[in-house]
Amino acid sequence: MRILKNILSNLHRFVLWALLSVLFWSWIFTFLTDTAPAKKVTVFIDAVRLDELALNLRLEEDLPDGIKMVRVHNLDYQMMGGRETGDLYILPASKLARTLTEHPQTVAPIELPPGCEGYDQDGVCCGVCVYDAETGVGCATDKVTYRSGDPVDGAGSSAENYYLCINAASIHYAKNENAIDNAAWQVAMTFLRLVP
Amino acid sequence: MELYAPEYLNTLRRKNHRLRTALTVLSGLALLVCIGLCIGVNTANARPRLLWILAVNLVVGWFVIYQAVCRYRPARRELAHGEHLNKAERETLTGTVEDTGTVIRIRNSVNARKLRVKTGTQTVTININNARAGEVLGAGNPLTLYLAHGFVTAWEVHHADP
Repeated sequence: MRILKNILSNLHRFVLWALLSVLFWSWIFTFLTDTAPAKKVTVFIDAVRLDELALNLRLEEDLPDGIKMVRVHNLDYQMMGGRETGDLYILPASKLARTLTEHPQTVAPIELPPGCEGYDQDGVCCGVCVYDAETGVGCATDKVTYRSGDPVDGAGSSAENYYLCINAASIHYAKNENAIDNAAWQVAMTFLRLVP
Repeated sequence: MELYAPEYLNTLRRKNHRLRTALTVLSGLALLVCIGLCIGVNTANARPRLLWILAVNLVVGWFVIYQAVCRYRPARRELAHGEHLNKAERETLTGTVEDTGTVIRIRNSVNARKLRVKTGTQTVTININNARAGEVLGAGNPLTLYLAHGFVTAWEVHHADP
């Protein structure tokens, strides 16, 4: 009883320690496992379920020269963090259309790879289809559940095509002015080859 | 009966030193384990390792906090309190215990028992700074108390001659 009383009277210390511990070690691990943006390709996917670790590992099997890691995140992560900008985005057609309407300068025009379906905006290809909602065929469908993270009924919005597009400000896309390499495109090609 | 005899304070000092050493060693070991788990971390093993580190941190951290706050600190304060009272000049008070009262908190981690003592026509309330002493000093005992800063530091019970 006395021990319980002591524990309860010091609960604030235990909680404070837990918070500090989680924050400190998470920061240490981010510091240890992260690298500079110049050596990293970041991919954001707007999916309701995403096996980030498996996808990271798979994409890192074919790393482009000069790149140390590929980071895959759910798009919600970017909305919460805000600091990290992606090189590649995989978005549902409706969200890509909205992005192109509201912020057309954020999506880089791309050259459609042979045999792929694209997303055209005013005659310019802005995205490569990675998931066809009608047939259910797509890239890495074992690691990504292609449903938007903006559910109306809590289960994800209705199925729609998903497109891979490239951030116009990415330093890893050769067609951008400030590009240092073409790693984003190479990672995109690796992703397009991920057929389960 | 001396409440803060040198032997008692020495024992307290030794216990505190042992506890402090044990907590320091335990914290150091936990830190080494955490640093060890950070070595060779990569994308594949980062998550399980972080969970292990957090588990070690929470278990050891909470144990150390509990021991430091609930055991080490009260003992250290009692030691300081005893040393402080032993250095002070003593007053003598003769009377009879009326009531041993209840345990109260004088200040953080120092508890005392309110003792009411009748001295002739007066009844005075004084603090006896060890809760166990209140049980030894039963009501009705004629005695001489030695006080320092309003605390009882020693007493003699006068037994009636047979």
